Amino acid sequence: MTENLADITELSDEDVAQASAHAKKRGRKKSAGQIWLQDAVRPEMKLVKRGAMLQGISELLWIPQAALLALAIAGLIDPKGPGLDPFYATASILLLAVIRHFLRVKGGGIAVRAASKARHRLETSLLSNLTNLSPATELPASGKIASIAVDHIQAIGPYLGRFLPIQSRLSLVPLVLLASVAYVSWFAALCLLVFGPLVPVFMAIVGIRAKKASDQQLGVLADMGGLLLDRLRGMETLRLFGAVKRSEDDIRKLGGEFRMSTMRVLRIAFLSSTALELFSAAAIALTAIYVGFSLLGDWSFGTYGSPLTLAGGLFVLMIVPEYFAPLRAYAAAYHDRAAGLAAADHIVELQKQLENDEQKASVAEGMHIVPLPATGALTIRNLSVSRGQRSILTDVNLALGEPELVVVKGPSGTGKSTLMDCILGFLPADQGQIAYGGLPISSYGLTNWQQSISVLSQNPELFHGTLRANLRRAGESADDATLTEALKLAAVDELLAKIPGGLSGQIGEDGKGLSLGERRRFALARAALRKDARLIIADEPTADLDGTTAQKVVTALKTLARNKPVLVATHDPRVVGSADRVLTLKEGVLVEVSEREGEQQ
Amino acid sequence: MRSSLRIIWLLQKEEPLAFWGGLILAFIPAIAGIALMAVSGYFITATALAGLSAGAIVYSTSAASNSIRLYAFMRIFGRYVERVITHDATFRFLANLRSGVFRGLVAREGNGTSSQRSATALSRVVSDVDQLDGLFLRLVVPLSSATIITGLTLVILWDYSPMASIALGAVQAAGLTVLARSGGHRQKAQARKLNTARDALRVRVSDLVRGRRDLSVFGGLEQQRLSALKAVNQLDEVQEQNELTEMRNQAVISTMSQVMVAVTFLFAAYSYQQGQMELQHIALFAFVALALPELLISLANSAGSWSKMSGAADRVRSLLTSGQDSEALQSARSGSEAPVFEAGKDALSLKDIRFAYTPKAAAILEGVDLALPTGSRTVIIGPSGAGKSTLAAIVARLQTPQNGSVQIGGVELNCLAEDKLRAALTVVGQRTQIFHSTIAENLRIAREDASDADLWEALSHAGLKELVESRQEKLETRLGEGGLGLSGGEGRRLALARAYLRDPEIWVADELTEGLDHATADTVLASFRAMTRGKTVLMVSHRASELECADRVLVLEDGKLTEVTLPLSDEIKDRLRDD
Repeated sequence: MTENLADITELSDEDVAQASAHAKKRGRKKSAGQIWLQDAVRPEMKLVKRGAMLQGISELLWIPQAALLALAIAGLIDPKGPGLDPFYATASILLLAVIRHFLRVKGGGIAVRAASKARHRLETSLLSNLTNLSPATELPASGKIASIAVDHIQAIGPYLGRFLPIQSRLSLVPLVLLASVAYVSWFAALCLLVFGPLVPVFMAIVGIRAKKASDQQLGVLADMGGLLLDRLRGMETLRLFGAVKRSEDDIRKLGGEFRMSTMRVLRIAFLSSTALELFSAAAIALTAIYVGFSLLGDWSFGTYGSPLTLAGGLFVLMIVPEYFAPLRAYAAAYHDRAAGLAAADHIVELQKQLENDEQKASVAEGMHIVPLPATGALTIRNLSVSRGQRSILTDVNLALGEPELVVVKGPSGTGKSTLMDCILGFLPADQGQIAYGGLPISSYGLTNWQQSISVLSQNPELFHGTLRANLRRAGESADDATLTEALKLAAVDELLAKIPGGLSGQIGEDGKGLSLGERRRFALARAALRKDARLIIADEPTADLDGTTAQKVVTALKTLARNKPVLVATHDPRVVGSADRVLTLKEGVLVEVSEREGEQQ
Repeated sequence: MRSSLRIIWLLQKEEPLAFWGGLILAFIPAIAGIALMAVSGYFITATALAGLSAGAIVYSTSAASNSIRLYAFMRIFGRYVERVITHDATFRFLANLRSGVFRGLVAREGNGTSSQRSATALSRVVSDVDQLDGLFLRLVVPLSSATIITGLTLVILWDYSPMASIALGAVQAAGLTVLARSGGHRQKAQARKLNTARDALRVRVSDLVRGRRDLSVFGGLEQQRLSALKAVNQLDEVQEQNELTEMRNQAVISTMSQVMVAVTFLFAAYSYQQGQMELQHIALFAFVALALPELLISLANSAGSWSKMSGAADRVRSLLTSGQDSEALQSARSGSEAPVFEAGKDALSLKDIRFAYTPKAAAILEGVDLALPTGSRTVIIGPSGAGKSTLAAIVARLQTPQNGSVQIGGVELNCLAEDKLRAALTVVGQRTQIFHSTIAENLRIAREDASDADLWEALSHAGLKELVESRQEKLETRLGEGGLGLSGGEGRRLALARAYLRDPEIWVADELTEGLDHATADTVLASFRAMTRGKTVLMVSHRASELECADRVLVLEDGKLTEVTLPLSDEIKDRLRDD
């Protein structure tokens, strides 16, 4: 469908007038995407121009080909006039065809490869931006970012490799063709000179209306895909309520509405391509009639003194269709431009978000990095954090060094997760300090620090791959026995039986195939595998688990707390009951509730 | 290719007038374009000859200039009418196709053959349908006009010079052959490779974005970046190959058109020198050779999308087939008896159910028997992953067991008509699916003809009346993105209101309060109990609060169901979640 809308957009922009008549009007405001795109493809522009030039030369070689053919035909008809041997003419035309082919493929290849290079550079830089980002940054949905990497950046390719070369040829090729016609007959050249620029003018007049309509149309199109997607996602409900048939009717009905509104736009948009046909057909007809009557001797104007010859007439007639061909190609590739610009808008939007955060991240870098000690104590002093105007943590103090199970409780939204993010170095503190072994955590290098902590997040991510590969992210050298042991500890070893292939079995994107409870316990096993972790942090580890399983998880946490400090954010009474220390976070203030010693079952 | 043909055939059957009308109309501007060039060339040479033979008019100039004008006119307006008609036909067809694909997807979901249901897969289907618009516009129309008009031109030119006609036809045929390769196996494999590379990059980037927290802790961030980079390299390589192939194809076609002009002219000249052709027809041949390749060039521009369309057609066709199969199954079931619910008899009974996700995987349910007397309330508990939700899905015919039988109101579930089943039984569950439309429309999914008063009643039973009344648009408030966001508890209530509108005899509640906090769970449960008074209820749960008011409690463990005595022992209570 999007390609179809090319018909709407291809001819519907006032830019057609701007580019082809090269009346570059000033003061037209460019969109942020447009400016970014020009900047982004600048390194490749030289290559694109070179490719376009080769292709342009290839197109202009039609002039000698047409001249050869015209002379050869004229020679046969009027043996007394200027002529060429048919065989030599054919051979020369074929030779020129080979040269044209070579130039065109060469030029096209340069443009396509330049586009590929630009695409690759943009994708690579997006990936490294994403990697350097603080994980606490709020980003658009992952699917949206993925579609920027996959669909939008890809759309820059055809814009650069196809559209731009055509655009730069558009200003050269028709002019040279016009000059070659003018060499034979000024009258024919005058006709083309009038008709040529008229095409974009007419296209623009129709196009302005079509553009307005097509902007609305794009909305309907999005609705169309959106409705289908929405109904597909909810198809279980539709089945349960016997509403499948009705949804089919809805989809068909909306399709009908879509058709009618699209056709309203297309009927206008097609008018602009009709303008192209009109002028090119009229130019051919007029040239033919002019040449015909000149040859008959009825008309004798339009040349420089001597009357128009048959060879001259044939030549002019053969050049006319080629004069309109670049315009036709431009219109056909116009969709690439629209897609490229739309994609650029999306990319710019994301780029802005990424840049803001990179500045923050770069502050932390550039410090002298100290090796992380094997043991030590985590001390938080006078930590205050706010987001925007709202203060989230106020003057928090905490010390963690001995192996123990420490629980931070408090209703959701009181800043438990923010505290964890600060300890992990994902969020910078406004005031106060987080130190390990007496030095601020940033002095070890944030990456080193983060990788010395084991985390069980609230919404743990598992990755596309085998169970083993997922677990080994925490303990690279762990053997299968160690992995199985960790799974047992987290009470999730039944997965080995459930997933075909056991440790070598695949789990999908987003841990597909596992329930949330299983995912969380699996993530706990992963956290347990990091043997050299200085600290274990768990965020709501028992949420969504049934009683039996939750108890197993608590036991596992308890076991882990024998060797190192475990910090748990939770409001599950089972976990609170087994804690060595309980802290409450209330309105950003951390208060110790009670202190208990000794093991509990 | 066979799938594409099949879909084209469908289009022809559904919209015969627009299909054939559009095709025939497409010939007019194409023929007119060639005729315009041919007559122009002919006219010039004829006038030149007339001029040479000193005033002896051998040719009616007014007739020729009239036909030039006529062809120009046909060219301009024929093209406009043709485009309007073919586009209209395509959109009509796509609307039907979309609903057929929807039916197919639902059918697949129903018989458990849907392997993936991620948003990516769904949006792929949506874009597949959209791609098929080119099937008629960019394959059927240009290809048939190219072949038919070439044939027609050859027949006409044959009279003037057979030899030159053969040369013309041979070059045109060679061009078509080059283009036919674009729809061939190699290109199709290339398109598949492109899709695979795209999907790989999509998955890796979303993993990178979603998992960046866990990745920075577990040290896979750099690794993930590298693996995404690998996908980028692969994608760029395939994409570049594709674009190069497309560019070369277009170049080959353009070169062939020059070859055609040269070769045709040579043969025409030879024919003339041999005395087999009249002089004024030489230019005719040259100009036809000049105009004819236009057909190929328009084909070459669309050839790049053929292999994509072909892949999309394969997928769409298999969905259409699934949709037809399910239609057939449903019409076979439509004559079934209606289930009868009488006190003292079983409203729902399961016998010897066996279920496994894949034929090879271990069974989740094995030899499960269960009978629910009409009007009883039964709760099934068990550890997570024991198959409780699967059992609920089997009862609702959302999953099909490998073995065993299910009866609803005395009728075998296998034979029960879809509408009768859905009227008798409803599932409310942990997943609430809310559609991007108004509250009223979301509720009327359950009962199309429900009056506003019915909707308000349902909302009040579900405890949502105050919330909806507080909104300015009341029932017309939009839900979903950009509209009213419902909290977890409110979503659950909306699902209850929907189910209430159906008023089924059997209610199945699958983890109804999962993920809700204590207070919210209590109010949702209270609504549920009020709504289901006197009905047959099957609840699947691991929360203590859901067990109140149960007549019977069963434990599902290791694929088996065992009844436990009431009141519950401490051992059982300990297995439940008590918050």
